Amino acid sequence: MNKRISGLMNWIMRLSVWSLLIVFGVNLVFWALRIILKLLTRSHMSLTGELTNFVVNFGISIEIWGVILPLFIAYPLFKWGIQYGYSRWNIWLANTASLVIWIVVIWLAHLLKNVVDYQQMGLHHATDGLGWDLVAVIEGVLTLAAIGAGFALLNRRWKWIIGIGGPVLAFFILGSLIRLIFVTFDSQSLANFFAVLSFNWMGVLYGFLFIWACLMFGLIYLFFMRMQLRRD
Amino acid sequence: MHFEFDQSAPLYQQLADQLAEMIFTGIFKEGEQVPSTTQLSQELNMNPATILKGMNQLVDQHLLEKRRGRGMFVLPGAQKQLAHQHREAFYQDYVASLVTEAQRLGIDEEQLLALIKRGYQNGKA
Amino acid sequence: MEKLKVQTITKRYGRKVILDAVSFELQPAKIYGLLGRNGAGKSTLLNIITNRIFANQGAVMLGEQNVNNNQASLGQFYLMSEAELNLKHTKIKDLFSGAELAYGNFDFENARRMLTAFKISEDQTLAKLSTGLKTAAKLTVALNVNADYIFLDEPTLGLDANHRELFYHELMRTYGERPRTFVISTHLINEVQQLLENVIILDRGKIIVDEPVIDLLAKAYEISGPSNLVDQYTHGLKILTSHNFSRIKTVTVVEKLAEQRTLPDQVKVDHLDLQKTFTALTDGGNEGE
Repeated sequence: MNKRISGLMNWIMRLSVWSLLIVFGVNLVFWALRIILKLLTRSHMSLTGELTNFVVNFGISIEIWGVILPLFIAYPLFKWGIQYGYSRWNIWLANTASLVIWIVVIWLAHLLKNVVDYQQMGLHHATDGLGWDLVAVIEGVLTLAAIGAGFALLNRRWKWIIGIGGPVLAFFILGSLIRLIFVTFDSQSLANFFAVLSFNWMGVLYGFLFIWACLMFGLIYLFFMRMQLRRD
Repeated sequence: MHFEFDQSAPLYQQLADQLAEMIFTGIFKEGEQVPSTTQLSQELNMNPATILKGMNQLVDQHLLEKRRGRGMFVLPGAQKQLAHQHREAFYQDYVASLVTEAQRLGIDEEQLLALIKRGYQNGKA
Repeated sequence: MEKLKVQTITKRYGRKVILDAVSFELQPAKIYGLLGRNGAGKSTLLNIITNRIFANQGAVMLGEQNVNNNQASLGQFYLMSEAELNLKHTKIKDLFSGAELAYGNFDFENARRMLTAFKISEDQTLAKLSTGLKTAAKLTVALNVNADYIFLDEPTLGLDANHRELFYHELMRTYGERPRTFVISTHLINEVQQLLENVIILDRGKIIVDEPVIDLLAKAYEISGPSNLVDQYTHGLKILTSHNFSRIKTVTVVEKLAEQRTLPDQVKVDHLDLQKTFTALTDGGNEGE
């Protein structure tokens, strides 16, 4: 790793840890309130039950943390970086390294949640679907990071336009595309097409996921290279 | 150290003049080192390039000399030279026009000298 | 240290041209004044040089290298401006550590001494400071960061007279101890006049002055006297401003006065200071009564 980006990584990690601690703290407070309430009403409690409950709730909070961080960090990171003469390349590099770290953290949180969840059902199920879980986290974080970086390029007015118009347009295009497919192709050729797909369904899925991840990664790079200090 | 600067002349010129005055009045003695460009720059909040230009002017007038690695020093005879310069300036600024004006009023040389003598006597009292 | 070359930088916002093929050179270890009226494009220019925004045309070179996305070059620049680039809870000591991590060799000792002089503590939150103290804190970083080209965009914003004097003093001090290039963009022209070696004036998107202050002021004059005599004396010269009061006409010119011009007794020729010279050059043909 570049010594040059240690300052950027320092800033990102401090922000990540602080926000995580806040999330942890909020969870702790609500969990403690629940415990107190249970004590006051003399409800049934068990140590493992309450701990499980805490870990599960924290896991949900980490999801939220994992959504918010990549979505909102691009422009603040950029602004902090240019203040100290960091090049866009190095800012992007630090951002990429952070994405990796966040993906791993989120995935480990899932693993922990699974372990706790499945404790009651048997440990050997805990590792089920962990690979797919990782894929989901990667796709999710990359997509959010791409959206976040893209929004960093827009001023306030365009943020609203894209933010609302974008999804609307996307649905419209998707819907039209689907209708177009069903109109242009007759049921036989469509059936053939899906047959071929399902024959190698996993391949298609892998392919799509890989292409999507690459697309998002590329967009993140593009957006960081075009980022500028905005006037608004 | 007290300096005054205004719009009357370029800054480096004013600086040179005021440094020369300090040499003339003996604040900086002959053979003594004057403050460095850097020191003056920080004391007066003035760009060193401006200060250097002013000091170089004094070097050109043979009032200061640059000693390599040591700094700027007042040359021996600087005071005498400045006294001569001041006398010359006095003649140009005051005496020449005094004589012209006297001639215009019809005062001859003898009468003018008598008037000057009176000026000195009045001054003493 | 290498020269910084700004080459035909053009910047448009929509159809408005802010910078029109702006070119100039910055030499190492000189103090420059970057002057211009409000909206002249000074901040835009500084942001382009430090790669914070992109120009539409042109390039910024440090030596032989293009500065764009070039860490080696950008690592030699530092821009101090009003822009708030930090998160709300940032403390002054965070600014110091950020500078140290990015540029190395941050002068902590001198920075702490300056903070004491400004009467601020490094534990204070930047966002909670008044405008003036915020500027003072940012200045403390700018004057102690290890970079060869320091750009100061409105470094006197909100500073009271005492702090301004302190700033000028600290600037001269650090410049003397470690000569490097400073580019100061400010409206307080007369206060900084004697700090500058060179001046660059930006007017309506173009560079109209780029020379040492001494040279510029050597040819900046205010000529006043009876109208007809003044007109006669200044015949053939470009009159920048003209003002009439009673029967006395006062004009300003910024060009060399030929030695042969005879000066009538009733005509006075005075030198202009940098601020008067600037306003004369950028007034855009103001006629006064």
